[in-house]
Amino acid sequence: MGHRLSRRRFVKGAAAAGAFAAAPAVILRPGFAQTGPVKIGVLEPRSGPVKYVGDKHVAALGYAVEQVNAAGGLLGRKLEIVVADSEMKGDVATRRANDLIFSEKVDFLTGLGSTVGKAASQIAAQNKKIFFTPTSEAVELTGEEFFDTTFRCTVNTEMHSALLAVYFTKLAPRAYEKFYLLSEDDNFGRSATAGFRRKFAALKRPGQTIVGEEYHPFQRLQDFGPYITKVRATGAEVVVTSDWGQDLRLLLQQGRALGWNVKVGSFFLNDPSTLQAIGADAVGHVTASDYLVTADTPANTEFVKKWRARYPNPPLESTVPDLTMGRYAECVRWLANVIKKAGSLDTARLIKEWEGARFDMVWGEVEMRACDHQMQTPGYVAEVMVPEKIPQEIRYFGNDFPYIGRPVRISRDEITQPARDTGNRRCA
Amino acid sequence: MSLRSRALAVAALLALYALPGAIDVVRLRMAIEILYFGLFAVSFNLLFGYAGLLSFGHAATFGVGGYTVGLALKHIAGLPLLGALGIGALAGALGGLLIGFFCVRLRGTYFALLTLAFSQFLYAVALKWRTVTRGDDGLTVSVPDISLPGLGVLRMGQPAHFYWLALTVVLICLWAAWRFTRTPLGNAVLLMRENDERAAFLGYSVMSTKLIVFTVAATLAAVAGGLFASFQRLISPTSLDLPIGTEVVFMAVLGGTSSFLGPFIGATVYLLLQDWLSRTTDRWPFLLGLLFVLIVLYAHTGLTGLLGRDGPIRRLWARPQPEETA
Amino acid sequence: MFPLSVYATQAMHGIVSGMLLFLVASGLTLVFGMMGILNIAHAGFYMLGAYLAYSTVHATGHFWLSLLVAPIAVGAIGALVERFLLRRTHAFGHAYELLLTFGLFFMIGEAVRWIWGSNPLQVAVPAGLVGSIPFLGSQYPLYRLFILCVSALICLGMAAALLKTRVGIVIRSAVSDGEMVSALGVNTPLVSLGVFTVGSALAAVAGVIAAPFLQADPSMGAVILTDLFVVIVIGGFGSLLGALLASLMIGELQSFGILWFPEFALVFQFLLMAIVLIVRPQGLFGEKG
Repeated sequence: MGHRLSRRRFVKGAAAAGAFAAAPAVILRPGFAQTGPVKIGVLEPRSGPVKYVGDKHVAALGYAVEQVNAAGGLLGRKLEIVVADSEMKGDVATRRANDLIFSEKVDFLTGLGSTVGKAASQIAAQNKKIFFTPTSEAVELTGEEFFDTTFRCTVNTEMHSALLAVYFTKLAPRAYEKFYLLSEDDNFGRSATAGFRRKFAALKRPGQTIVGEEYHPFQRLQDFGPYITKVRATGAEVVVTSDWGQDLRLLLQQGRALGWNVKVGSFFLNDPSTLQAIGADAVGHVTASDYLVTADTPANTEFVKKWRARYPNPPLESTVPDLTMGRYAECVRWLANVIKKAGSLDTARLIKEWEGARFDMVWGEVEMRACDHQMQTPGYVAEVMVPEKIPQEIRYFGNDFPYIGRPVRISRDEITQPARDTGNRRCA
Repeated sequence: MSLRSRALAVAALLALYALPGAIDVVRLRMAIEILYFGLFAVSFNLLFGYAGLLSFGHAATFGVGGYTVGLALKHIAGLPLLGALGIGALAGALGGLLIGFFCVRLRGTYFALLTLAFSQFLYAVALKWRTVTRGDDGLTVSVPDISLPGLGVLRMGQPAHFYWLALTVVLICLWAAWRFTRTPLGNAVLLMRENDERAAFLGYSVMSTKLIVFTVAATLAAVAGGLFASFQRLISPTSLDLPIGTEVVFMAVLGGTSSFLGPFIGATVYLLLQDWLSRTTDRWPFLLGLLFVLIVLYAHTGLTGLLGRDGPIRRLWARPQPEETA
Repeated sequence: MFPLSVYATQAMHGIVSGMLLFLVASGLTLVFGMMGILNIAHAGFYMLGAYLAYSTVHATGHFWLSLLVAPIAVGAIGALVERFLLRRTHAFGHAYELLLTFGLFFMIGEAVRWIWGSNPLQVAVPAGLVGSIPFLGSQYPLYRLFILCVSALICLGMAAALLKTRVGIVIRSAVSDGEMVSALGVNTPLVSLGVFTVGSALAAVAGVIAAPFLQADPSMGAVILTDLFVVIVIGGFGSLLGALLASLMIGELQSFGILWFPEFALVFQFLLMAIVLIVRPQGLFGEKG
């Protein structure tokens, strides 16, 4: 009951964007398209169990907006974000997205999640606005269900799981042989697992095999005992999982308590609250992503410094602009760059300008592939370490709990998904 | 119906159709949601208010209707929207027959739990049968425009046009449901609500009657689900899950289960209230829950029960009374 | 296919989760048997127990204290609910009683989010129960064994109370024939109140015990609710023995289901519930009613 229509929304000017608490509703400005600020409509969870993720993203967007405005804005206009609560649900997101376009007259749409992404990309396409996502990894968004108004500035599940496949077949310090794939039973978990399988099959060395594949109910299951026992029974040395949040935490804690001796390959293990909760049980496991905050580039070091100066008292999760926060901020920076180059907000012109464009993200050079609007990017894999082993300059959480160290870099070409395999009719 | 009632009805009808001219797009979208959730709530009440059967799984055929429409439009080339809605209704009827066949044998808590089991089972199917339903991401629904010969085209992308479609479909369904409650069978249901054994003694086939009511309710729920899917252009497993199943209960109870249109009023008030509340405070789910509990405790006949009977449309508000024979 | 130790470990998992489930389900069964109400809010009481454990540990650092705090607090809430809310809706019929308990369950869930937030909260395993013991070539966590022991003890205690004590006999009689018992001069409303209070307190105890194992999470009520329904239906409304056997069965089903047919574990439970309701609505041990 009561899971619809949470219309808690607020206009975020650049200055107000730094607040981490829910801001009071501000008077809405009338939506003039040609004058007034350029608006990005944002669909994030502002209530419910993953509200903290929405908070992170709003902070990252706020940061990026401030940077853009400080550098003169966009074509003489200020940049602004308008946030709406998606509740991480497709039908709510649909309603919100329509509100954002019709009432708020936003110029762009973005948001978190695959279902939300699919809903929003549809509505954006219907209204000829660009939808860009730094978080939705569902392959269909740039594949079968592609609209030319959709742009993805992050990896998709194929590329994301390719990072782990490349790591374990080529870069890991030890030659692991038996792999178990255990993920949540939803589209993300299934896609990630399938992606890993494909890349693993192509790259594996003699002796490396997958000894099991399993899916558990998504954030409903609380006792992982039977799964862990099954994993142990197969003699697996590595467990590859796309789990995050509560599931990941329980899996690792209960696994250790039940005596499993595996290395976990994950996508989201660098989340500070997860690491704080798991503590020592997390040490030795690895995590992979396009952007990790400990990536060793000058631009990234600068970025983290500026973020920490901007947010001196953040909640734990936003101490550093890791993962999705970094992607959000950088994606907006790229969009601003594209708008400047195009000299206009006209959607068709922006599409043309963005297709094939290259850009220097703080973690490396990326390219927006023209046929499917999928960003081609390098990636990183890092191991969770005890604080003492982390170089002081990136020991962002002090000695409180384990965190990731310097990651190993994996090049763009190694994880790219061939255009013809995307299912996108434009790339055939 | 007296001349005065007729004139009022026509005026009301005209006003409803003229609504798009009077309100903005955002409110019009809300009106569309009120239409299909209202229908959903009225269909629920055929089971609860009329037949005395509390179903926790009424979302089952709502979701079935939605998915059927989505899948039909996807896989049958050139299928018109009304055709898809028809197929959705049919699927709802079949689903209702199948589920109802097992459920109507039970009463009270047992009935509620079995309906819940069925809807949760369907939820799991929708979640897992990825190749067909696209799993938790949901199925995008592409909705073709409707061409009315001689009148032009109804563009489903335009809220006003969709509103007219939804209004027409919902009015027809409500009228059909209303007529159904006035039939001898409809009256028999009321009798059975009071006393199963007595009704059977009087010669009614209790099981068949309940099954027919269940099927009718399921069919209407499926139509509501079909409209939902067509409007949202997305149908996902949440349409089969508990939150929607319990929301419809709230709507009916809020509006009043003792009258035919009570649940429709309930849906209207609920959606508007929730919209306003969620703008005002983060704690809106708690407040709605509190409201529900207060209503069950102190106003269980709902809003229409509180407001009582009055005026020329009295029979729409009045508590349906069983007509006794012998 | 797998060595025996694997099956043994899975069986252990099943017994542990089954006993925990029974601990929660026992109160619900008593209330249903006694008053004919399926108290959906029971799952909310369980959740409150877990959260009160968190707060007690947070405030005082003593986990064991919560075994006192939680049942008393939640029992009191249960008593108030029964005395002032449930009795009122009784006049409106079973459906409205059910709706009330559901509404309360929902309110408890939202209140929990309000007070403690939406993030899962960790409750540390109490000192002395941390770690694992060697078990069949691997190891088994001490705390899981603790859950098993406590649940079994409470189960035995309940059995003893119901079979041997006067109060227990009164309760059992009231469950089978309320009118008769009332005619014999027993204060049935008082017994109802007592049973409801004890049932709620039991749910809270289960929540406290579960908290270090599963963590306190706002969705834990909803998660256990589906399991509770299945247990009640299969075991038989009102039968404690049935609830025990059904809980163990569900626990083992989940354990071995994951081993043998993982795809269908979720679906299977509801199918089983549906089948039992269709074929034998009174469950395995319930009375036809």
